[in-house]
Amino acid sequence: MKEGISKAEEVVLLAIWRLGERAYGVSIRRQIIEDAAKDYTYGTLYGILRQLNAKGFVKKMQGAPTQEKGGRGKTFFHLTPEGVRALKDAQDLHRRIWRGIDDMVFDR
Amino acid sequence: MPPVAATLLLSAFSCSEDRDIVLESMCEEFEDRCQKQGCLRAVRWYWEQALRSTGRGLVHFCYWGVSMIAHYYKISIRYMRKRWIFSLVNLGSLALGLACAMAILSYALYEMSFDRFHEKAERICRLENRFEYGGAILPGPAMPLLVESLPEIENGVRLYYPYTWGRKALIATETTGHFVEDFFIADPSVFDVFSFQFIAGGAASALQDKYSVVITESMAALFFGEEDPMGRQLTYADTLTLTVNGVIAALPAESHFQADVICSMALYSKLRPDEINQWGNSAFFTYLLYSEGVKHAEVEAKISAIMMQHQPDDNQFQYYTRPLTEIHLQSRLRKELKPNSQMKHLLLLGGIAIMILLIGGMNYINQTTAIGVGRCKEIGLRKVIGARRKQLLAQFITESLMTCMAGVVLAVILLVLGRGMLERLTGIPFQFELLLNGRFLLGVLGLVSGLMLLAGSVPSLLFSSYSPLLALSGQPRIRQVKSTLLRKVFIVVQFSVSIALIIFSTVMSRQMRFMQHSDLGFNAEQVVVFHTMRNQRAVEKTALITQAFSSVPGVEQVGRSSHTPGQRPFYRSVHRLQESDARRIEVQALWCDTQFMSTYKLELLAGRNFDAQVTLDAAEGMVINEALMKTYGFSSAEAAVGQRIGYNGREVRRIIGVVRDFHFMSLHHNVEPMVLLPDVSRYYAVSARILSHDIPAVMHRLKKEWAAIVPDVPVNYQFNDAQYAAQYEADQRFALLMHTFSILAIAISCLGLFGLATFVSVQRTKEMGIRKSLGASTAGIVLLLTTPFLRWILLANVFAWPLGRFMARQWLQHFAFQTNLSLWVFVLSGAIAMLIALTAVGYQVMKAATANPVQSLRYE
Repeated sequence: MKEGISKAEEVVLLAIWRLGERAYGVSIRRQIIEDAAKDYTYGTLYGILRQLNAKGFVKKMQGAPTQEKGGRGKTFFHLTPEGVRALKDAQDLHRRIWRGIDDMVFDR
Repeated sequence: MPPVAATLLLSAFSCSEDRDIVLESMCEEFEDRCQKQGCLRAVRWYWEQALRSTGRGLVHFCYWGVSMIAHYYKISIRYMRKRWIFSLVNLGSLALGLACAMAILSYALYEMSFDRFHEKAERICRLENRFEYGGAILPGPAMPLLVESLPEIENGVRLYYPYTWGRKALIATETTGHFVEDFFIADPSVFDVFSFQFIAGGAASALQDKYSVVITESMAALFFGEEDPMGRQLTYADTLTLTVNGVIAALPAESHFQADVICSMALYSKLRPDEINQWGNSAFFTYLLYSEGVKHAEVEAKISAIMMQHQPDDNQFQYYTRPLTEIHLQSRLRKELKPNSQMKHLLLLGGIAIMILLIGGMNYINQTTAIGVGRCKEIGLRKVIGARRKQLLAQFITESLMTCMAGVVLAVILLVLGRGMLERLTGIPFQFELLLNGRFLLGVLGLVSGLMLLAGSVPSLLFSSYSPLLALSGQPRIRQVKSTLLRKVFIVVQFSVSIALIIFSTVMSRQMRFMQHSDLGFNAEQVVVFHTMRNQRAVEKTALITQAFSSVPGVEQVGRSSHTPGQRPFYRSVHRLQESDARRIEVQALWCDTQFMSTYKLELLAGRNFDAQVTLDAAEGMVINEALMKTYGFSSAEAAVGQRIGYNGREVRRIIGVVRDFHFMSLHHNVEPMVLLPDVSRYYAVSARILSHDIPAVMHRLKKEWAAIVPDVPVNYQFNDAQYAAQYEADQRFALLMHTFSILAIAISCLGLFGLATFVSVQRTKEMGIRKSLGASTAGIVLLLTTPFLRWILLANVFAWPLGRFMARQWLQHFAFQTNLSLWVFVLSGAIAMLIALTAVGYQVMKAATANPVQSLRYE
């Protein structure tokens, strides 16, 4: 049975997709603030990332060690094919259930 | 760069997996923001993030914390049900220990709180002098002089307290008369210095008039019933009419003196006009109220100097001041207002409380470690699932906390239920409300929590180090070595303490019996004493009373005296007539008639008794006791007879006889030098020696004779042995307390031993089964199982004997006459302990020894 993703996971996955190669903790958080105006704390964020990793939608990659970081290097998160598929499913679901509803319908 | 406190907060409450990376990211963004928006904004942002995470982390922690504790609670209840004997033993010993400790603590607090209720308590002190026998009774002029000369002393008060040790004042209205013991004469400043609560009248007006008197509520009810006592009249000692000018509430029990009736000092001046201003007449308890901010030590030297100036040259008094709050516990002077306690007693009791508490705690630890062996499978499993050491620790601490809570609750219940019985037994009011004092409660809670944590962590530290593999495969024996050692140590300690306590109580009993059966130098069996209570009318008629008593059949001998065995003596001084050694010796003075010595069967060593025919005897004659003879330096009794010595400063008397030392006071005191003199005006007690067996009949006659001669003086008599024994009341109570504690201590120790025996026999079931099937006899098994226990107890003796000896010695120091500490006392105590321990262990051992090997070897 194919696993779904929650709303928060969706937001994070999309942000990663937008960032492409440069998706790591700080940049993901910044992206989410920019896109969705959601201020996730790092604790939450990494929790979600852990979940996504466990589900197989995201892959953790250790970056090359740099001077500043004290020798460990940033941890990057890359979308896996499953992750991409999950995004597509989410998009499909969204399109289907929101079909035919105008933009302004909920403004009245 | 980022704020440290916030970082700490973050790291505390975040999930441990992500912690590093979260902190890293926070750091990076912080620096970023610092550059872009300035540090202030960055710091604010950092804090905001940290706090948000904390909130959630806390909830997370709480949720898991609570659910874990709920789980531990369930598990520990399960275990308690399963091994309910163990739990009971645990709980029992804890509760007993705690109840003991709390009772003793509340008593100690009570004793330490004496006299603190006075508003100015911190500034009050009592003037005392270091006279050879110690005295708190001083000359009249002292107080006014000191108040006047020293600005540091704001006020002072003198208390004249003539009725102590059984003597009472006769106070009457037109209709009723009662003997009152706590009768005082005081300066009006008494209400300024001490804090009395006035119910009617006020401090300012109360004692202004020479004939005014202040009484307590209970006295008012006694004399006047429901009517208003103000303005009413009371007759004192048949001679004086006093007017009630104020009604006060009784002083609380925690006071070193009690007052039922207070008269004005002006009255004293009227009764003895010259004496109040004489430096030679010491009669008053003197208290000084210092001004604010004055330190006691500073003024003491000045006071001493002034006092020395006014004392006659041949006195070597040394004056010092004692703060009011110290009187009850630290003053051991002879002439105290009410019997005082002793700091040492409290310390001793406190020490015992701690010991008993420790014994209880040790039981707990023993029990839990013993059970722990059976739980190693559970622990192994938990470890395998992933429990961390901290969690295991938390589990066992929760269990111990629960047991201790239950123990505390049980202890409180025990105390509440047993309070009445305790009070009756010991005569000490148990005010547990004192325990509720905030500061104390905090201290106790802290102590108890500390103990609980300790008690809980000991087993858990042991258990958590079990290797899961070994634990699960059922081979816990490897770990046992450490816990067995601890167990043995504990048992030895417990029994050492218990045996020491048994030794101590045995010695106390022996001392009590020794004192009661010692040769006191007089014989007062079947002697009954009729007290005149210094009532003038009765004193005048003592000659008639004596005659009347003598005529009653069954009465062998009647004698009169100023006081009798068990009553507080009078004191005078004697001095040598030679110039070179004019030092005064303080002596006890006993005034008695010619028949007194034979009534009490006092033994003359040389010389003769007073003779009614020899007229000079009354003015000049004096009998001294051995002690005075030795102090004075006479070579023998015969040498003393005929000598003249100075008496009471001014008189000269001739020694007509020397009597063997006799102890009218308890054996706490050494025999003091004493003089016996005749003085008709001072015969306050009539003693009658009864020969017949029908005592009630004789008493009936005696009472009738008394009533016939002095009808308006209430009959007040006591049998001498009861009167004398009353001196030992405090000691009897203490002995009782000690006995109780020894029993408690040994009970708790045996509880522990019983639990241990159960455990051990269960553990060795298989071994015993094998031995039996190989042919071991029941006796052999019994021996095998009991020997380890017996060895421990024998070892305990080694420690107990010196400890017990030390405690006993300390206590015996109170007594001038001590029983000896013979070896058999120690042996007996050890044997008792051994016996009791055997019974505790015996049941389990018998069960194991008579078990069917088929049964014990069956279970695999």
